[in-house]
This record gives sequence, structure tokens and C-alpha cells, in this order.
Amino acid sequence: MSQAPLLQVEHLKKYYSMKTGLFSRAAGVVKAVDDISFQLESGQTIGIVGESGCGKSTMGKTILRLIEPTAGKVLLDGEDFTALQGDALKRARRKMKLIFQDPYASLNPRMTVRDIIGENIDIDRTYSTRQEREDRIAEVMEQTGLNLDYMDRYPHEFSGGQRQRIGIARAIVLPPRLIICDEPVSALDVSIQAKIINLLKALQRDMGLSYIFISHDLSVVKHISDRVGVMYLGHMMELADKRSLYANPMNPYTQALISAVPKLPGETVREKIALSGDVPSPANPPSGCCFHTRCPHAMPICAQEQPELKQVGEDHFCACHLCKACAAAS
Amino acid sequence: MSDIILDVKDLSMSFFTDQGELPAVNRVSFQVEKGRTLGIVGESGCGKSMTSLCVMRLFPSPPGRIVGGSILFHGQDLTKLSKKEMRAIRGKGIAMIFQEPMTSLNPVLTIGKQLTEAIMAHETVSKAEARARALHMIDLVGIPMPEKIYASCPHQLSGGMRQRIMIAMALSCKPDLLICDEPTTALDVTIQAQILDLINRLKNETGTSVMMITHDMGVINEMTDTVLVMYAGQVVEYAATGELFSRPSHPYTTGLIASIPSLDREEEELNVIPGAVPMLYELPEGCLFCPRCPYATDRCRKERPELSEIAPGHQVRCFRYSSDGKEERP
Repeated sequence: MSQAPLLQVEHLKKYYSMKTGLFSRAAGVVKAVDDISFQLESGQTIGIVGESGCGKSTMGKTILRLIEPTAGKVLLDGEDFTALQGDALKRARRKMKLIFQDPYASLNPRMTVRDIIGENIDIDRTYSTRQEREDRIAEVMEQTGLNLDYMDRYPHEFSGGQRQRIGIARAIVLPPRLIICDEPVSALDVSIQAKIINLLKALQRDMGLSYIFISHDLSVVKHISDRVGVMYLGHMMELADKRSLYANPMNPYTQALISAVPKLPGETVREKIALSGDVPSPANPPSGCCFHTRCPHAMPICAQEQPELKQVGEDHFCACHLCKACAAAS
Repeated sequence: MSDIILDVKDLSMSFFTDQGELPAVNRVSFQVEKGRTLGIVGESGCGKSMTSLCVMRLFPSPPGRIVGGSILFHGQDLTKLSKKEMRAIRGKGIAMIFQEPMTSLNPVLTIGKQLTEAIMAHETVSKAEARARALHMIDLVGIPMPEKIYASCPHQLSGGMRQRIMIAMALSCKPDLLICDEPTTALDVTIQAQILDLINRLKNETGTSVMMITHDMGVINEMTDTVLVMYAGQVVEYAATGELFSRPSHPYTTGLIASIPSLDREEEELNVIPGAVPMLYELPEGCLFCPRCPYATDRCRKERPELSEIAPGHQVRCFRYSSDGKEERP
């Protein structure tokens, strides 16, 4: 590909300092996102999976600069998004939108659907006449499967699935290039979840959108993504083309994660890899590889040295001391 | 068969509200055998939790009231017991664990206090014996250093640990039936695998029967022996788990299974069930599922189907199957 990718994330870091005591002495840092890099091509979807507290949502917000990154760069269309200020930042932000997990908390309860969707237009002053604004709102409502009669209703009058559609309509009213979807279907029932996923896929096809799809549900991520990254305690453990990742997971954490999903009959049942213990606290992460305390294959080196993300196959990257392919690549 | 522990017959529970009588549980019948697991699956609002709360007599009353049917636990009808008699059964004969372990533990009491309280409420044991039993239970659910946990408060524990404590508490009086209401929905996949494994192991060791309420078909497949599929307060399908997955027969069951993205297969678009679950105050006249059913006929819109047995032990509520078990496809 001659063209630069739509989004390049380079060594993105977000550290929070912990304060303690009366004079707020620094007591340490929480590395919520630690050295994450990946690229996203236009029209593609990258899925980010991981358990709670692994930093996947923080990463999404840091890319958008809703949270300022501690270090690292985000390049959007080749432009350094992290260095932008003022009007330039506002303009660049038009290209990136966010859809939230909780459709109950992410819509202003005192605004009508018309105003929730139209707010973007008002801020951006895209259309000069009222009629154009109204037409555009009606257009996206139709596109996202919302009944036009509901335009003047308030969010509490809608079900969870419909609210998520309002959230999506709001995100696409000024067509963005990239939408960061932060657990958009986790709060929904399976049959509603299927409808929202189909809608997201249809919009991607029609508008050429790119998605960063953050979720803890491995089967949903597999369905919607082209590439998948697995995060654990702020680190990217494995990043690969989805077929390669699910068919041939290299990192012991990915293997355990995939094996832990309750399967339906007819699905390939791998041997269950039982992980003992809980995810360590990000405030007090283990030395070396962050996963070594729960890893069934941990070796002495794992406690000392942090493995780097290395290429182990065509579009397959893995951070693990153990994996033979990693060793061969180094 | 004498080893039927729980025999629920034609159970109906309604809420009496301003909108009239809302049938939350509508003539539900099922049986739980000793040492077996029954699964109840369905989407939000289908009445699966209410059914389990009826068995515990813990549903909100008023406005809820059992309006018909019986719940025979060891031959004793729970619907006829006084509050005091029911209290003796809760915890001792039937125990329950809930979805959110944080809200079901008392935040200001130590784990030890809460565990011994349950034991001493049901059995005449000394404090020292209760303490020894509590420590044994903590050990049994696989938590290291029981002494330390015994003295901790719930907020000091992780979600997985809290759910283990709930299981320890539920099993401390050796109940004959354990009701698990979405026990792993709030937990991460690797922790979910640990908890499901624990429930299975303890079930085999103690011979307790389990009622597993979940929306996750994968959990149903891996954990249960028989399944009840519920929709809008009614049982729409009741079968052995293997039979249900090899021959799902109600259009709702097939739709539900088809709308789950698979870890193995790749599909461009997920199957969806059109429409939404009806509200209890606007139930359709005929079959409750007919507005969303692809096979609906005039008869479905006028008459409500009854459960009919289409194979030994396999019941379906649908006109497509006549009472002699033959499938009538239009």
C-alpha cells in the first residue's frame, strides 16, 4: 500500500501517578497503557480484547485525546494528532468519533433525539439553514433504523438497543473516518446485539468507516474485526490478523482467553487452560512479563525481562519469551 | 422417580400494578433431579430470574403474587408455607447466589462474620465449630490463606473472590438445591471459567442440584443437563441440553442460537430476530412470539399454543408441531 494508513499509534503511553498522604507525595505510577503501537487502514476494523482493567478503554480515550497521553504519538491521515491545538484539533476531531458502552448513561436525558443528533451539526456549523440540518438528522435516523416519529422523544423512552442506535446516529451525522466503539454491545441482549453489529457492519460498508472495536467478548470481536489485538495490564500481548490469531494463538494468555469462552456444540473445543488467580493490580504489576504470575509456562527469564512485541508470522505479532517463533525471530 | 428434588407445576406469578395484572411468570413447569443441573435461558425480561425468585419466595411482594400452581420441594409445597417456615428453608434447603457479588455481601461485616452467621442461623453449633466450618468452606472454594480472608471485608476482595465467598456461603449448610442467577455475568472470561469450574466440582462432590439462570448459550451448553427456554414469562422449549442444541425446535430458540457470533464459523451477517420482546402490558393476543416469528400464521395470531411433546422429554410451545410430535411445516 502506497498510501499512509488512516491511523498510526506509536508507542502510546498513559501513566497515572498515585498520590498519598497529606502532602500528596508521589507513591508510584499506574501504567494504564504502556507502549502500545498499531496501525489501522482505511475501511478496516481492529478489535481490542482484554479483561477489565487491562487498559483497553483508556487506550481508546487516549487516542481521541479525551485523556492526554503521557507519551507517544497518534498519526491521523499522516498528521500528528497529538501535537494539534485549538481549531486544528477541533477540525481533526471531526474525523474521529466515540460510541460508548452504556447507552443509558451516554445520552443527555434532557435533550430530545433531534437535539442529541443535531448537536454535532450545531457545534460545527456545517449547514447554514435549519432545513438542511433537519434533513440531515432525518437521513441518519433512517440510516440507523430509527423511526422518524421518535425525533422529539427523550432518551428514557427508548430501549437499550434503540439508544445505542441514537449513539451511532450521533457519531455518523458528520461523517467521520474512524469510530472508536467502546464495548458498544456489552450491555445488550444477544438478539439486539446481533442487530447493532449488523448495523455497524452495514455502515462500514456504505461509508467506508474504520473502527477500533473494544470489547471483552472474543466471539463478537472475531466477527466484526479484520485484525485483533489482545491487551493485558496495559500491554499489547498479541496482535494479528483475526484468522491467524484465533486459529493459531501464540501467546499463552491469548490461548487461555480463547479456551475460557464457554462453547456452543459444534465449536472446536480446545483443552481448557485454567488460569489460577486474579489479574494483578496495575498499581503493583509483576516484574518482567506482566502475565508470568498466571502463566502456565512461566520460565525464570519471564520474571526478569519484559518480552517485546515481535513479528512471528505474516501479520502476526506476539510478546512472549516462550514462543518458539518469537525466539526464532530475534 | 423419587429423586426429584424440586417439582414446579403450572407456576404463575403476576404483578398487580396500575396497568393491570402483568403475568411475569406464566404457567411454568419443570423438575430438578438430584445432582443434576437445570438451565433457564432467555433475554432480559423473559421471567427467568422471577421464576427462581418464586422458588425462593423472594420476589417483590406486593406488587407480585403467586396466582397459581405449586412448587414442591421434597414434596412440600413452598407456596403454602408461612414466612417463618420459608426462612428455615432458605439457606438450608435451597441456597442462592446472585449476579453481582458486591451488592449481595454486607459491606461493613467481615467475611467470617457473614459466613458464620449463615451457619449458626440454621444449625445448632458453637461459635468455634461455625468458625472451623467457615474456614473449611473458604478453603473448599479455592481461596488461599482462609484465615486472612476470614478477617477481611468484602471491598478488599476482587470480584472473582467475592463470588467464591458467595458460593462458600451458599454451600455452607449443604443445601439440596443451589440457584445461581447469572453467577458469572459480571466477571471476566478467565474468572468466569474458574467459577463455573468450581460450581461443577462442588456439585459433583456434594451432590447438590443446581438451577443455572443465564443468558449465555455457551454456559448452558457446558454446564447444564436440561434446559428451559423462556420468552415473555412462558416456557417455549424444554429439553435435555444435547437434544436442544441438536434439534432446536421453537423459532425463538433457533433464532437465539443463530444470533450468537461463532468463534469458528465466519459469517458476513448475523442472523437477527426481527422486532423486540413485548412489554408485559402489551402482550399479543395469540402466540406471544408470533409478531417476531417468520412462520406465523393466522392461527398463531388468534390462539395461544400449548406445550406439546415432540420427542420424549422435549416440549415445544408452537403450532408447527402437532401433539403427536410430527413437525408441520407450512
